[in-house]
Amino acid sequence: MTMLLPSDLRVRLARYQWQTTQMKRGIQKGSRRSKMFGSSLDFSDYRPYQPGDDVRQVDWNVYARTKRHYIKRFLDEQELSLTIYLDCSSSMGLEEKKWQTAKALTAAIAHIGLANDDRVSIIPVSKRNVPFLNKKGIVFSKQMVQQIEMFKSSVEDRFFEQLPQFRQPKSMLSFLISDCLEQVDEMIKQMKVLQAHQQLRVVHLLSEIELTPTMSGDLQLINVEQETDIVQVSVNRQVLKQYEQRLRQHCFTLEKQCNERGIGYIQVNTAQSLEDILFFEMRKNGWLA
Amino acid sequence: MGILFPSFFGLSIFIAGLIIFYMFKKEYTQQVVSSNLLWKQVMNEWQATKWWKKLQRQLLLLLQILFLFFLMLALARPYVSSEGIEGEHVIIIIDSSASMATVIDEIGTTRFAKAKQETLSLLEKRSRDQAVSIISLGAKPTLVMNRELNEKALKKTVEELTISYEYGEVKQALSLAKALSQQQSASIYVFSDRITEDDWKESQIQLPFQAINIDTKKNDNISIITFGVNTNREKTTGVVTLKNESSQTQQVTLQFMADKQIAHTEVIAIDANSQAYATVEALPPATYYRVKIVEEDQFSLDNVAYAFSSIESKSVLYLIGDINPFLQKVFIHLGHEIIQAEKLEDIREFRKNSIIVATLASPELNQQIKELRQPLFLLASTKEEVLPLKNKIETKRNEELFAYADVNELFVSQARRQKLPNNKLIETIMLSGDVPLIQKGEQNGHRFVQLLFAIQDSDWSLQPSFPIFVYHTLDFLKGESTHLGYFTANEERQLPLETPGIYKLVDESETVIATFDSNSENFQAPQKPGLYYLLDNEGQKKYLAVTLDDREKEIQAQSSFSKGGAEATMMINNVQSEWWPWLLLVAFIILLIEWEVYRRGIRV
Repeated sequence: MTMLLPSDLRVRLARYQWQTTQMKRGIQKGSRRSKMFGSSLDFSDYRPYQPGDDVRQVDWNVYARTKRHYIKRFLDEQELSLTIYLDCSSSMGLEEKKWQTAKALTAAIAHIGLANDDRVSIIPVSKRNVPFLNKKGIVFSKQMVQQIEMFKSSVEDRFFEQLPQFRQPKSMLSFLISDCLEQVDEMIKQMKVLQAHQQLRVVHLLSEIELTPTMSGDLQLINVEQETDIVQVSVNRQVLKQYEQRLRQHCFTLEKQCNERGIGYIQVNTAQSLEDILFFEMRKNGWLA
Repeated sequence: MGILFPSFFGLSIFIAGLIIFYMFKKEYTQQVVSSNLLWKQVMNEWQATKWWKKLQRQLLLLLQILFLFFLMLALARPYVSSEGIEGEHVIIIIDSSASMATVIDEIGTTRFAKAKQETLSLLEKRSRDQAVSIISLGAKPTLVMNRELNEKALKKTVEELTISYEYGEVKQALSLAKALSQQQSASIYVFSDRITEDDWKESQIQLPFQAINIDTKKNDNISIITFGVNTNREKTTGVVTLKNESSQTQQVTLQFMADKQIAHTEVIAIDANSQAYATVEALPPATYYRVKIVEEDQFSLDNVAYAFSSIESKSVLYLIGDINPFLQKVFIHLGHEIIQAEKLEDIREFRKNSIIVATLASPELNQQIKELRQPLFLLASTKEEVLPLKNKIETKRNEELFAYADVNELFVSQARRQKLPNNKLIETIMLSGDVPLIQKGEQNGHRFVQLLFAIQDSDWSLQPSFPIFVYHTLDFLKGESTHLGYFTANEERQLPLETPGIYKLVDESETVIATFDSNSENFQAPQKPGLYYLLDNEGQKKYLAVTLDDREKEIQAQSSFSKGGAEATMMINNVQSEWWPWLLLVAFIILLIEWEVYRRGIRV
């Protein structure tokens, strides 16, 4: 447990909470403002009594002064339903550091949710891994971390392909942690499915090697997710330069398309510390407060 | 261009091997990556790039192939066989005779310049260990460079060669070359204009022999073969012989000059390949005459000729006693006035320019002669004591009295004892062993020549050299004239100068070209044909003309030929300038580049 989230980080994480623009709708009461009127302690407004209203809600003090029946309304507080989709394809697990970072990020996001009484689901987009579903309350944090640590990447999984199957329809805020090494069009198509009635945020995690490859010589590059997919590359400086250019292009296109669709996007890499990613990148984008 | 060891090209299988190696070596190192998405894009882009960019990928292979190729080439040792020169020793004979001054093209290149140029290009072909000797062919062959290996020195020497205006003695030059070529394999190159196959045959040279006769395309040369003036009391007549060497009739303008004045101009036509004469009567009296062909032709040296006037009156000869009739005949033929007398006392008074010719038959006459203050030509009497001759007759070299007179064939049976005392001023100019035969000298301030043998005791009077000798003798006895006569180029001769001292040699343009000390050295005529004068301290001028050798007046060139030597092809054409070190250098540079490429390749 301590591996993924050091205790000092957990303390810090607890001070933040996820910001959403959408008013929350939920099943259970929570600590988040809802667009519904409800029974929280916070006063909202008055409205004239209409037959059928709960008589208990009539504000008798106002009636005393105005001889009219007003119903006193309170803001509703509901829980925030938070879902984290973790890419469990083998490309994520190719490098241990990348996989650990991905898992730590998942844990951190979930921890913030749990700490703020949000209902948290962690969906490893994988058939083998057991999802962490609809838990609320900081007490589940330990369980959550333990569960995350059990996650394994597997060859069979195709993150974006399988994403709609794992969709949590009731979730209001969804995080997507992936390396996004797919065709941009394909990814956007799947994200659009996921995005319906939800707010979607993409954490694009790349490893250092993916960003700046250090390979050389004549190489046969085998796609970790598909062994038949082989590219022969005689690496030289020119080729590497072009690769990096392509990668930048790829990230830029993805970010642009996400922005057009209101999908939040940050691109992080394994070289960055968790704190940096959370408290700088995410706060900068207004995700955390 | 050739290859010394073509077998080394077999090594090219290694290049093929390298390529095959590369083809099979392309086993890629497998590497698992998270996605090939971007790599595919990159490779697709590569496919679309220019071919040479793709080649860049194979840079290492290319460099390796190049390196191997150059290495192989260096092993095969290619050479440029720039048609070399045979032999270890190259003997180059450059004709510097007068006819080499012939202009062969419009720019004014002379044959000599062309010969030098060809020599230089011949030197280019020389391999580094071939020694070169250069002989300048003149009247005497001059070895200007002997077995020289230094290329710079050779070129400098060739460039500094000058024309000598002499007659080219081919035979001597060839025998010198032959002597030089002993003990070594040599080849001989002759740059000339008139070397013939006969010359070569005569020289018996067994070596590779190249005769390059530099020819002209056309020959429009007109030469003045002879020019003479004859002065008698009334008038001076000039006669010119001209020759047209060209194959068409030509008109020339002849300009006669007496001293520095133009005396006469005449235009005459000369048929192709024939001679013509021009006679000019009534030339004004002058010291020297000049005739000039005004038209320019290829060979300008033979367009001018000089003649000295013979205006000075002939001397009067007093023949005392019994004089050899042959000698008398000669005197008459030479046009002298002759006065005969039995005894010296019979002559009361000597005329101006008189010469006494006497046979010393009696002691009284001897005594009288000793006191006489006149030029003397003394003959030996048959009554005198006989001195037997055992040795070959020798003459003093460069003796003016023997100029043009070949006395080598002379036979003298016996000599006679000399009469005049042997004082310091007497010089023996012909002798046999230690017996003097002809002496000349001065007595009482007057010159004398004496023969110490009876003309009857020799066959001289039957030889053509006899009248020439007599003519020179009378000339010598008469004393100085205003001219010194004719010289050939570089001719060395003693001059009949009255006052010894330093003379300045001045040419026609009044430039002092040399000084000459008559005490210490023989006079050597200048090279260039023309008119010169010697100027003494008192301002007296003595003219001399340097004339072109008659044999040099024809500029028709012989055809070139070449002969292989008896032992030819022993060292043939091995001027293989090999350049494999350059190939190695290139290979090394390629190796460096390869190394650098490899280093960079690793660094990326």
